[in-house]
Amino acid sequence: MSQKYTALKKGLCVSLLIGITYTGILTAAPKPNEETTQIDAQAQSESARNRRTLKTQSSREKSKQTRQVYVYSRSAPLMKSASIESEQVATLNRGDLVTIVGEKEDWFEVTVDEISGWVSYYFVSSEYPVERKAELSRDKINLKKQSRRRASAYSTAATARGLVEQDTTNKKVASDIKSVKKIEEKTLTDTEVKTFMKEGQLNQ
Amino acid sequence: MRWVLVLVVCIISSLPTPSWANDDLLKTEIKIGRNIASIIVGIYGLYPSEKVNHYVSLVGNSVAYLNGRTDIRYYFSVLNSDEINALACPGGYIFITKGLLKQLENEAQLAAILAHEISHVNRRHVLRALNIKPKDKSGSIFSRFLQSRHSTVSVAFSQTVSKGVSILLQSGLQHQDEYEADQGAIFYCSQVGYDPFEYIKVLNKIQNKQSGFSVTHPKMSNRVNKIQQSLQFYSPKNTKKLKGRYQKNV
Repeated sequence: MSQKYTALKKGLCVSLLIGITYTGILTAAPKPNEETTQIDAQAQSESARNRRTLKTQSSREKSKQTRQVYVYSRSAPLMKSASIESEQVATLNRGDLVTIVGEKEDWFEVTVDEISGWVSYYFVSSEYPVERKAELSRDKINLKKQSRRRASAYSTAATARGLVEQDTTNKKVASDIKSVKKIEEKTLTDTEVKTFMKEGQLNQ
Repeated sequence: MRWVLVLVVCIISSLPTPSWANDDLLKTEIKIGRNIASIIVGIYGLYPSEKVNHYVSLVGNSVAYLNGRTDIRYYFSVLNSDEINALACPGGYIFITKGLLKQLENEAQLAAILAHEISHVNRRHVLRALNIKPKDKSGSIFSRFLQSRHSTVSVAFSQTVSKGVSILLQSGLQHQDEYEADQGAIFYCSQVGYDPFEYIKVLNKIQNKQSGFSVTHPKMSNRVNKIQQSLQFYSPKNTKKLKGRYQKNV
């Protein structure tokens, strides 16, 4: 009996050690870098319960709880007061971590490097803006078969909901993954976009 | 013995989500969005003009370049429909109808409409509305969605996609999400250098017309009021409307 109990105690200690080590490794991670996914950053800043559902809280509620947010737009003006027409005191850059010290409607009062000011809620996120790692692997499934299955499931569910006019008529609703692939192939380069903005005298 | 097991289970369940699971979430978002987009394109078809699609893509990507998420690409296309509507699927697939393009007067108005949709993608509004439970008794739903070889999973995935289409075309998002996207649009447009007041003009213009927005969005007058409040004291400097460029390309 006592041997069994000792074995149990040993097992418990090992489990605890593994648990603590694993938790320590993951939670003691420094500021996220390029290899950390966007969701990783979110995971570090939220409770375990919140991580288990996508919809329990809006991003805004998360940001309020986190008290520290990242700038996710390429740049964001830091304003003197909580207003779009206020004087700009500094420019924040993508990935900057700012501490929230106050808030007013859609604005956060923040401090960064001893400078304080107001930044719009729409330029920040509780998630670190990681770079895109890789494209989603292309479907290796038979497109025709896939298309039939999706169309069938869609038609059934859509008919049940009385979705759109097209569903209740004889017009067949089918997915068009080939066209979506064509859309994906026509990606613009940053240079094209920057040239376009320059021609329109945008982002001055 | 039982309490030891309970304790071990507690420890394991409290561990943070590993990164591969989070990659699955992002990939699932893109896969769901891609499939919703394929059905939207299946219903309406793409507007065949390369020139118009390229121009819309340039305007949308200008807004997304400065204000978009960095973990996804944004795709902008024109739907071959006379309806007045614009749609954002999860993962960055954004559409505007030919009918809405006809209503617009300048590039700033087009940018505002696309900025509203970018805002939906940035905040993952549609994905949250889908309310996918990440896990069930059999493990991660995301990883099974990504493989989707089992017929039951395939049907569940198709139903999720159908629900996404239904949200975009019929039931709409929560009104709070729409107001949030409106506010995002004016900030994004200002950031790029477009005149944000053009957004109010375009909303006023389409509010009396039969459009997809009237079914899925809050009352237009409420939206306009909220935007006007935000821009109450704003006097834009050097913002652009780019009417000439719009008319040359559309």
